[in-house]
Amino acid sequence: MSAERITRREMLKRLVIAPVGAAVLTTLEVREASAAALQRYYAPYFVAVLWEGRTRCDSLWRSLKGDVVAILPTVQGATPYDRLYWTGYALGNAPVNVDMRVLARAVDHNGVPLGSGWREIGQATIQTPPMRWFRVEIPEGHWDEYRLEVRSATPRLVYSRLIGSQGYWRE
Amino acid sequence: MRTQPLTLYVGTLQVEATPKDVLNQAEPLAPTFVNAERCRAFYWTGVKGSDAPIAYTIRAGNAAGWQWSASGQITGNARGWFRVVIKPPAPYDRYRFEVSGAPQTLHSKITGAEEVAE
Repeated sequence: MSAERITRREMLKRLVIAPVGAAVLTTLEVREASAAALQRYYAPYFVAVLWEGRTRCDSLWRSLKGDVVAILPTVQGATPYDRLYWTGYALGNAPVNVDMRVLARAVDHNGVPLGSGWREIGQATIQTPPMRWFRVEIPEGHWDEYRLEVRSATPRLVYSRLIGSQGYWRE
Repeated sequence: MRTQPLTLYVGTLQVEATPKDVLNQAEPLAPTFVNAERCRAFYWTGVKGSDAPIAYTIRAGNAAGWQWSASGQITGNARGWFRVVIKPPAPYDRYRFEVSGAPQTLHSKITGAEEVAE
């Protein structure tokens, strides 16, 4: 019989087997200047974990990394990814009610943003029973940097992971 | 085939009523990029200088001339971000990204999704 050493976080992930809560982003309009409508099916061939960790949510808009400095990105070098997926769960016995928003921007060759501020891609509210997984799909890919912010009226600890995917568009 | 991002252009242009491409070329036959057959999509992002909309036209073709085009408007507030996605229906060798409108500064970046062998 063999023993396996796992972290507390990994143990929690294995214990929490529950339906997935989903939230839909209210996305801004994306202008398509071509025949993209023909490309209907998306099959990812490569995924990368862009960020993973825990975030202590409170009433302030905080990056997943915990900061409240609006100019700092949560992830950089995200240009190759068609889509981003944010998955996670919140600790605690109370129902989850966490607001999140996704911001993005482009940078020049030196990593300097092309302009001040961010483009807001969308907002969502994660509302699930306690200890349920949630998943948010961020459809607007190929921005260089993203800032994912969360806040909650009731302080919560959120464990989450941000994944970037590259894929085939099939007609 | 998979794709990889290729930064094709980063720069600033003074937009005017006269159409010109992002390289400030007014000659309508002058391409902005050449040797772009492997690019299957273009992601044009940036920041506008004023509230006025900017009209854009993207032309694609080869040495014989332009064969496909797409037009639209970049709208938004001053210093607001924009994003235009271009997915041409076929591979083309050369492209021209042309803009016109009320005078304003346009900071933008064009990234191509280039097909590469697996």
